[in-house]
Amino acid sequence: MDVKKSQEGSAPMDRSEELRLVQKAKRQDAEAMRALIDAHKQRLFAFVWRMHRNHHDAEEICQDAFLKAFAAIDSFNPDYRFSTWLFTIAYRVTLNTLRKKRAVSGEMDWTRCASSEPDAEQEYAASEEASRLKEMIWQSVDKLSPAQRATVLLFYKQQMGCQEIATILETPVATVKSHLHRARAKLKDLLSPVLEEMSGSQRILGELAG
Amino acid sequence: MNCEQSQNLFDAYLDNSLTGTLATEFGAHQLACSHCRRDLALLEVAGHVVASDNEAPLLDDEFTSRLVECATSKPAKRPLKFSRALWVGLPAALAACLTLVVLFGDKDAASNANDKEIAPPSVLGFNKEVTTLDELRANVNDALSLNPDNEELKKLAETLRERSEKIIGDTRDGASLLQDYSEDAIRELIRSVPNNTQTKPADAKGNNGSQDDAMQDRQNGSSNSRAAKPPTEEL
Repeated sequence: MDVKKSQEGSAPMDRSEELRLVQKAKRQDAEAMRALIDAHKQRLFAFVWRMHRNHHDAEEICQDAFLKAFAAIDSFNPDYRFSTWLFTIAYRVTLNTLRKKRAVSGEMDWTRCASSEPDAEQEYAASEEASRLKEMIWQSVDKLSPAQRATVLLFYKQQMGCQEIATILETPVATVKSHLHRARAKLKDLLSPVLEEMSGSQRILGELAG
Repeated sequence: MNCEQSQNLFDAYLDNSLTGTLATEFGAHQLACSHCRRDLALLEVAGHVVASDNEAPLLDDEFTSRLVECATSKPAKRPLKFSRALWVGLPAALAACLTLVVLFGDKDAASNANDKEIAPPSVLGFNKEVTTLDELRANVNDALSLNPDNEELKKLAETLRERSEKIIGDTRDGASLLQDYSEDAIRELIRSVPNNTQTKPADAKGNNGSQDDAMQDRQNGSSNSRAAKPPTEEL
């Protein structure tokens, strides 16, 4: 697999610029659509890919989310960010796809899990044990329920607040906080035994915390 | 503070919402308790690993172009769908309007003027299942032959003839549309035609003498439950 590192570090689009592009996209302006896609595609893809762990499905979900967003762009509420709207659509499509996939196979596709790829692991920590812990962390994240996983990814990776996550997940804020609490508790339960086995766990944690 | 209390505050600490005395007590416990310290560090590291994840593969270069092409090509298809909807919907709308106009337009005045002449609905032959335009027109014409002076029936027969031929001539779907139209028209006719012109008094069951055979046929042969009911129940 072509594992290029994602370039997600670009600054969020200015609000007024975003609204201007949305207005133009409503008039089927191809350049405005292109700008909106380019501004959000990689963040969205990273989120969906982490939810789905399948490159092909994640790409299809992203395409679907963008097309649905553009098809219904007249109903876009300018009180929200375009990204929030896009993530809401993508999350809904992701859940549907996950349900279908589980109904069909009962299995997830782990073959494209980047954390199992040696060259990617070196980004975080030099030591083998730290890499192993990182891998275990991702495997534990993958064992969370879809809602818990989405909450963790949006909270930590996308740096979203509970209110915005609640909008995307279409649940109350209290439910988002509950997802986060349960997710942390589950991660702790899953990772504690792993850490017990590792020698020098405090050093590893220090290394990963960087 | 004990370990349980400390662990209950993990969320607040990780969300940076732990302040004041509670934050001090929490910090003091972490210094003294290696177990809580390790659990907290584990959660912090998990959050850090997720936050600094940049291992998702990149989308291919054509992704944006493909999407833009898809998104902008959709409107070109919309007019086709719209025109098809117009093509099928307009005759249907015309037929619906026609039904309303014919059946309800100035109905009270017409029925009051022709109370004596208008026959009960059974003369329209609703004991038979009507599924085509021709059957409907035949029924209306039969009714007209029995009530040649009924202006309402005359108008209905003429309008049906003109409009149905026009609709069938204009669209391929005209025939099927008119089937639906005829069923609707029948139902409306049953409701709209007054039945206070029986030639014999109704019996206890609501049947009238001259229509007994027709009513029996309706009850035996019709697949339309509404049509099978005596007119008195319909009105």
